[in-house]
Formats: sequence, C-alpha cells, structure tokens
Amino acid sequence: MIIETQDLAKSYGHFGALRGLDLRMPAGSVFALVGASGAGKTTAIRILLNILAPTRGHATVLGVDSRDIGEPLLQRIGYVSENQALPARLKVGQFFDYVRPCYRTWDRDLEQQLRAQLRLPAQRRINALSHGMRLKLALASALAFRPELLILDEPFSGLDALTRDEMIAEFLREPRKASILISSHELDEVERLATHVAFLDEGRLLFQGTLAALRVHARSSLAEQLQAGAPNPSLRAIFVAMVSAARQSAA
Amino acid sequence: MMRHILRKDWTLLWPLALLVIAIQVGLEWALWRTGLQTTNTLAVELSRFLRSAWGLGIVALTIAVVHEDTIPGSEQDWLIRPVSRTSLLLAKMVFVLLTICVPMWVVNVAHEMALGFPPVPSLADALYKECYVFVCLLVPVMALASIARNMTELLVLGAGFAVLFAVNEGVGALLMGDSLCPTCETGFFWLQRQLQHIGLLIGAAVILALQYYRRRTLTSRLVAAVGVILLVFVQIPWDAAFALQKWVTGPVRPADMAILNIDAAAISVKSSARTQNAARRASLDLMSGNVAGAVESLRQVKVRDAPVMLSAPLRISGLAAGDFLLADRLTVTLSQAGDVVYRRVVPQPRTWPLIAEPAGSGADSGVVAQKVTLPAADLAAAVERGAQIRFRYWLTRMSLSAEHRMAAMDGELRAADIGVCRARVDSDAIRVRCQRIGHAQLAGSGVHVGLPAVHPATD
Repeated sequence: MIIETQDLAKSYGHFGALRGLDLRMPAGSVFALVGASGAGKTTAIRILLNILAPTRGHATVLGVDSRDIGEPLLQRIGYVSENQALPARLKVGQFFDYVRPCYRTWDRDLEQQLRAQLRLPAQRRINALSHGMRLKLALASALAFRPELLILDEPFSGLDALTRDEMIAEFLREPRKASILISSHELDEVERLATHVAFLDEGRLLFQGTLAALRVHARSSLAEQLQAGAPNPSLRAIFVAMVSAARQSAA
Repeated sequence: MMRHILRKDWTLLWPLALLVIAIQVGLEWALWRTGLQTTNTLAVELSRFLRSAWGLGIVALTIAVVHEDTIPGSEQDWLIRPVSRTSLLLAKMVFVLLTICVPMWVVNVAHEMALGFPPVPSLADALYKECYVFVCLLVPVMALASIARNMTELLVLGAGFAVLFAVNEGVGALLMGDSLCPTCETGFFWLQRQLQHIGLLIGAAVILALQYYRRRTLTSRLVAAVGVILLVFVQIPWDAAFALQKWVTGPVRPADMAILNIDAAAISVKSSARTQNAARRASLDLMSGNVAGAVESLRQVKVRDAPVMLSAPLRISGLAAGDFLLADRLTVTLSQAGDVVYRRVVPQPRTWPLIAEPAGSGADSGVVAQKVTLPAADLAAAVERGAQIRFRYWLTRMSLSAEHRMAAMDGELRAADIGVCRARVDSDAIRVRCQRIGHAQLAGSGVHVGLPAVHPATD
C-alpha cells in the first residue's frame, strides 16, 4: 500500500473533522477521495503530508509514518491544491528557479515540456495569473521531478471545462509511474480518471474500493435509492444514494 | 537549499532592502553632518526623522522576510517542498544579517573612521553595536513575526502584548510599589537590563524553535504572553544584584576599604519643609486676621505622622584622590532590643556621588550630610523607648581611570576611551558632548577649571 491510515481522526474543539478513517491506497492506482464540502478530504490530505497532526490514529505514506514526513520523503511527493499559496510576487520563471534546486530528481527537459504545453508565461508574476493558470503552474512544479506519489486536492475547482479536459487528458491520464491521490467533489472528472474510490461523509468513510467493486456494492445495497432500471449508474448517482442512506441511518 | 531561499527572498524584497540601506546611509550622513554641537535645527530634525525611519525600516524588513514563508497556516507552498526547517530559519537570519546588519556595520565603520578613529577599534565597536541590534531587536522581531500569518495579525498581536505589558506594569506598581523593581534608579539597573535581554533572547529562541521545527503557533503565542508578564515581574532581588556586582568587580582589598563614621552627637532633627510651611502659613494667616486658616494650618503642624528631617553628618575616609563613593541604597532602621520599630529604604540618586573630595584637607572635608525624612510619630516613639537608629549603606567605589583636558570654548578632544568630544559655551553652561560609534552618546560631567569657582558642567 502506498498510503494506509488506521483510525485517523482530527478534531477542532468539539467538531470532529475526521472520525476514524481507515484508508488503503494501492500502489499505481488513481485513488479518488470523494465527498461533499466539509467531508474531511482536505483534512485527511493535510495529515498525510504532516501539515496537520492527527488527534488520533496514524497514517503511513510511502512506508513512512506521516508524522515523520520531512525533507527526504517530500522529494518523492508532488502536491497540488486549489488553495496552495505560491510565492505570489515571483515571476513564473523565478518560481521554477526557486523550486528546481529543491528536488534531486528534477527533470529540466520535462519542465520545459510542461511549461510549453501549459503555456506558462515566464515573465508573468504569479499574482497576475488566473486561478487556472496558477493551478497549472502548481501542477507543472509537482510533475517535473517525476514524483512517486501525486496528491491533488480539488485540482479542478474553479476551472473551466476546457482546462479540466486538458489537464486530465494531457497530464493525469497518460501513463506515468506516479500513484495519484485525488480529492474532489467534481464526480464526472473523478469517474474519468480514478481506478479506486473512497467516499467520505462528515469525516467518516462510507466506502472504498475499485470503481467496479463500487458498482457491485451499489447494485446490491443501494438498489432502492438508485433509479430503478439504471444498468450502470453514474458515480454521482451512487455517491448521492450512499450519502443519503448513511445520513438516514445516522438520523 | 539555504542559498536558494535567500535568493528568492532577495528577488522579492530587494527594493525594501535597498530602501533600508539608503536610510541607514542617510542617517549616518545626517549624524556626521550634525556633529556633536550643531545649531542647525534642520540637520537635527532630519537625523531624528531618519532615525525613526531606520527603526521602522529594519523592523519592517525583518517582518517581511519572515512573512515570505509564514509559519502559521496550512496552505504555504514551502510546507510541501523538501525544504529543511533549519535551512529556512538560517536563510531568514542570514538575510537579516546581510541586508540590515552588514550595511549598518559598513556605514558605522565609515562614520567612525571619518571622525578620525583608527580602523581596528572602529570595526570592533561597530560590530558590538550590530550584534546588540541583531540579538536584542531583530531576533525577537523575527520570533514575533513567526507567530503571525500577516502584518494585520502581527499588529493585533503586538497591540495585545503592549496592553498586557502596560496592565502588568500598572498592577505591579499598584500591588508592590517601589519593591516591584528593587534595582530601578540604582547603579545596578544594568544587571536587570542584562537579565531582560537574556530573557528576551531565550524567549525568542524558544519561539523560533517551536515555530520552525514544531509549528506550534498557539504554544508560541502563550510563551510570548508569559514572557511579557515575566519581563515585568522577574526582578533581581537587591541582595542578589549587589552580590553579583561584587562578584563582577572582584573582592575588596583592605587597602581599598572606605570608612564611614557618623557622629551620633551631631545628628540633628528638623521639622520637614511641609511642617515648616504649615507653620509659616499659620503665622501669615494670623497676621492677616484669618483665624480659621491659621487653626487649620496649625492642625497640620500637629499631625502625628508629619515628616521630620533627620540630618546625620557622615564622615568618609580611606578614599584616594579622585575616588568617590556612589550610594546605591540606604536603609534606615529604628530598633529596640532587636525588634524593628521602623524600617525604610531610602532611594539614593545614583548619579550623585556621596563624596567626591579626598578626606583630610579641612575640618569639614570628607563630611556629607545624610538627610533622611521619617514620620515624626515613629521617631518620637523610638526616642521614647530608647531605640537605636541604624544606617545601612550599599556603596560602589568609583576610581579615576583616565583624565582628559580640553578647552571649554569650542574645544575638541579625541580619545580612544571616550571617543570624540566637543565643548560649547552657552549663555549659562558649558556643554560637553562625546560620541563613540557602537556606544550610546555619552552625557558626562566635567570640571571646569580656570574660573574663580569650580562648576560642575553637565549635559
């Protein structure tokens, strides 16, 4: 397993953002963490990257306890987030000059290729870039050192359909060595991309497994909630049905 | 890695860094032009403005470089890059050293050399000053900046700490009065200052370590708040301060002992100025026919706790020529058969020597009148019971280490130990100002020789 968590929990005062998460992400998979806003996706990712400390439980990433993640392991992990605060007053070229020496495995040719493909203007300041361009910049800086694990936190948020398609088709779907953990509530994009999926709701894990296993599970357990006669229900429909069922049983 | 962070910070902050350097250069130039005895108010005002701008500039630059990679929060880019925390912290410190301390050192050395001092002492003096600014100002500012996400948050935090400090000072003064700070207004206050500086540095180091290696912002803010409270309430007790001072200066040789004698028979007691004034007012009231006012004034004279002035002739011997004693503290105790009837700490003005004249050159030479005001009731009770009065002094013996002479009118003196001094005669005083880079401007006292009388000329 490339990522494994046991009883992972995070509380802010009395509010439990994450309540006993047990995740198992196989190597080589594109693992989608799906949930509504506030489900605990970003909290889980921040714990995995040792940005936040868990209140309970523990997690391992690439075989290392998440609390011990530091400089050596971050050489192997790429991260892109919609909220990532890039050094705003640097120019794009200066940003690459700053980030490049951080990574031993940085591939300069790949960097040039990504910059050309994503049409990143070297002389523009980061704070003058659109949200989409900033995400592309973050993605380029996360791919150029060929990470073993790529973590994407809401990478499609606020992007137009064209840019989403471009990102998925050109950078995420093409065969790479990296395993990808992607958190999103954009279910159409997740369905096109993911091999494995985990549903989160209010900090609890509702399901995890392959897409095929999810569909089997849905047909057997959620037949009532899903539209009768739909032979191959969409990820969106399964997610809505599963969350509704979980909330009803909790109520 | 540190080099790359440093380069990134320079790329982002070079306009501010250059502005701060320009202010530093401008300030030194203005100070040089102002000189020691200028009458050019424009130059004085300019240097005053630039000094404020310089203080503001170095603090702003320090905060800005820390905030380029803020510690609190979870969205900063550096958190997900393979950047070692040590490199990050060192990069920030080196940036501050290179953009603030090194330019300041260069301009200070240039200034000192322009004043005519040799290069090596100039380098050392300026280095001392830069180290002081770095350790006692810039590192604590870095620590404070590291517990805030942005300038707004920092201003709110800073205001909060300032209010906390003021409230603690107020509460301390209310509850403990003068005993809050036993060394204040004494020659030992430097020890308290050193303690505060050490505390400040330790607190800043703890906060920086907590922030850069553990990212514990809440704990760090608590440490800062506790530090502010300790800054007010942790005071060196008097006896400890005296013992420390004694240890620093080394043991006193018998030959250096000064002897203090009070002639008990010559102690006189007078009603204090307040009582005398009341009596004078009563007389004036009676003469003008204001009986009620006179009675009221006389009632004040009769007040049992009205202070009386006790004057004890204190003879000091054993001092060499040029030596004098500084009275750091005096306690007056009235006691009877071991029971203390009354005890009071009498603050002594630290800059005023107890005696400056060598003994033995005349009948009154070597004698000073030690004056103490006491409540009349306590003194009367003590006298009735046959109580003893005891004076206990804590003294510092000062010796003449160097002597310099200069003309009183437009005189100039250059000496390695005191720097450059210039004298100017005003309408009613002779003003001597000395300056030495790396040290605060010296406001010394001198003895003006050449007139029929000898006047202490102070600035």
